[in-house]
Amino acid sequence: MLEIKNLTKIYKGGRTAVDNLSLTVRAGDIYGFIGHNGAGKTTTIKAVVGIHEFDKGEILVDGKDVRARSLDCKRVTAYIPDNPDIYEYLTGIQYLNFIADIYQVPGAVRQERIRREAEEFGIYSVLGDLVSTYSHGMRQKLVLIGALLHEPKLLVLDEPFVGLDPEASLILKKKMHALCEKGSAIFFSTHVLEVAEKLCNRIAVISGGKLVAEGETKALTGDKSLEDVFMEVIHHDEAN
Amino acid sequence: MMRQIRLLTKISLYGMFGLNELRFTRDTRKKVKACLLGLLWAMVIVMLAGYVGLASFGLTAMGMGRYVPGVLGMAVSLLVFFFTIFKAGPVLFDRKAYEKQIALPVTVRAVIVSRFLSMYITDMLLGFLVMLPGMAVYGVMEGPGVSFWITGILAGIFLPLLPMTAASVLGALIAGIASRWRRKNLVSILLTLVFITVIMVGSLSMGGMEESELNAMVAQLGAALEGQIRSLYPPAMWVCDAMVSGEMGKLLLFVGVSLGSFVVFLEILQRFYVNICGLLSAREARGNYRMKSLQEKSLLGTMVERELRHYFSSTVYVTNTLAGELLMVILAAAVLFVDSQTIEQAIGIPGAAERALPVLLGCLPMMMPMTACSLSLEGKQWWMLQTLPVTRRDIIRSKMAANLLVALPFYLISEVLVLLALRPGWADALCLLAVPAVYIVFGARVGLAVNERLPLMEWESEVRVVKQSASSMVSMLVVMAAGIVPMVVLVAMPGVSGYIVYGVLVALMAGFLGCCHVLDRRAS
Repeated sequence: MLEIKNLTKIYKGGRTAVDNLSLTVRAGDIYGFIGHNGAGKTTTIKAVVGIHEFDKGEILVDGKDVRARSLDCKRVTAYIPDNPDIYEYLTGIQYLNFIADIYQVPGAVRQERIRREAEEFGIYSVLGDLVSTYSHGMRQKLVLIGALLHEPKLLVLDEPFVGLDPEASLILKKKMHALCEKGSAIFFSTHVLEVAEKLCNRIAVISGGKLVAEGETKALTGDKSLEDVFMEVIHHDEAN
Repeated sequence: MMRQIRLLTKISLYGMFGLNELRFTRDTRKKVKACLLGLLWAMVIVMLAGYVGLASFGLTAMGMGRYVPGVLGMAVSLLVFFFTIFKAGPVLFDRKAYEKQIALPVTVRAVIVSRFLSMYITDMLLGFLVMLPGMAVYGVMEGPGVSFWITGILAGIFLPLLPMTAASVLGALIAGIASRWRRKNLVSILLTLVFITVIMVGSLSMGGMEESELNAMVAQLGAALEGQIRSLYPPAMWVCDAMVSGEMGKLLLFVGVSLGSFVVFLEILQRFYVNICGLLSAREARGNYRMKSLQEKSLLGTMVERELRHYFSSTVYVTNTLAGELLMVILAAAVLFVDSQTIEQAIGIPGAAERALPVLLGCLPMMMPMTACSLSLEGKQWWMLQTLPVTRRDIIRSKMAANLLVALPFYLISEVLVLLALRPGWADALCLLAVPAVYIVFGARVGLAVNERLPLMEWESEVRVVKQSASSMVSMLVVMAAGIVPMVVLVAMPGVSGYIVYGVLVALMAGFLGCCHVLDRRAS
């Protein structure tokens, strides 16, 4: 579903944020992307969803090149950023309706999905209020609902559990599993290693823009915790 | 207290014009763009200095040199008043910045003074840009003593205080009234627009009065001018008397009134400031949503709707961009109710209303097109349009359509008024209808083209985007040039047929729009 081949991104000023990174996320995968602050996780994610241009390499979503066929790729993708900066001048329902219009979700379908998801996340009653009145967590839930509206084939999330209450985190994890069971793929970055270990079937570790470890979660950790493995590979990479 | 004010003002000035970002950025393109913008500013300053210098030269040559400081003082005060009125409310009562600052160990008084000071410093620089060339011309021609320069500099420092206080009082009143309504933004927009309209209509009628009085009293031009300044803005005459006649008492009176009014304003405002900020930041959350049938809209329809909701949610965006449309309607109403000579006297361009009315009507609404900052105003939410399945062409079309929809009612009202007033033949009617229409579409596309090349996505306050960004300034210069060139041809060359000028103008602008259309299609 998502193929990143030899991705290199150099920022203006010459800093290499991502260096020759390759990874593959298959349909049904919940793929965790972990690394230090500034390791290149968000840069990689932003290149996948079309926010950042990149210097070298290739990114394929559902077999299509994100540069040559960006619209086709975006139609099957949903992205949730680390900071839910969304249109504050819209009400919650106006925001969701806007997203549904953009993805051309039929009226009856969007109505049913919005009701169901909003009730589940506990923000149904405030959908008529302006987004500017929402707390950080409520905004995040709204973005999540918007992202699930068109049942994306690829869901890309940047630090999705930051700011969510425990109940919403649990709901999100269930949603992620449900989506993968339907054949979608999930690619997300996180600092919470316990979550990654329990939730993901595959994990990649990035350090200094380079992929330093990648594979099946169980094969990667063996009898150690992901935390130990992470510290090992990071320190090994830094020592080199 | 002084330390708090100094630090808060410093932080505020760091953000202004993006100077701090420019200082530390490693992006060479950003630096080059900033240099080009600096050059543009320098050009505008030279033009302004030239204009002020020539006007001062004219007055001095006519033997009315002693009134030059008074005229300069009045011009600076009016300029500062208009600059401040559009931003006083949003800057003084910026709730997000207030929430960040008040969590620090600073007083409300320090917050208000620092915000006022950050506006004051830029306005003072603007004031000196107007004052100095005029003073230099007067200094060379009349050779006044050292006291002229000392009082001039002192007056220049204090000149912005009074008009800024007046504009801030008005901004505070508007914010105070708007804060009591549920739709605060809309009330604030309406009140500001009503006020701007009143000022515009008032200044237009004053302009006519001044000219007619001057004509009637050719022998007593000086006295008439003095009377005008004294009746319109007495403090300007105090400055004039202090600079020319060395009346230090008048200077003290001027400084005292300026400082006194500011202190009184500060004392009153700090009592209500927290309340007003609280009321403005309070958002009504009902929490009683019941789902009704959700309507499907087309891609363009939903994007235009979002653009319009965004536009009308921002007071500073609407008031700054809609002033041109208001002027268009005022001009059209003036054509219906006042004779063309009075209009020409008021706008200061002889022959403009008779010969170039379609150009005048078209220029006004695009003075500051709303598209000139619509991309930049996406700000932190720009990621949404980048990641949603919409093309660049969809974005351009939605922003253009929103601009045209906003301008449409003003265009229609103006056209009806003008056609009723002039009852023209078919050819003139066609010019009156087509030229402003093409100008409006052209202005909207130019604004967008400039904003695409000069975007400003990282900002804290909308004032920075709408009033201080490179895109707004360059768009304004481009559309000004598109208006001034045909106007000069029409007014200065009476032999050239208006139809030919209009034909060429429409063809050129339509050509530009056609090129943009083709390029947009290709890019998609």
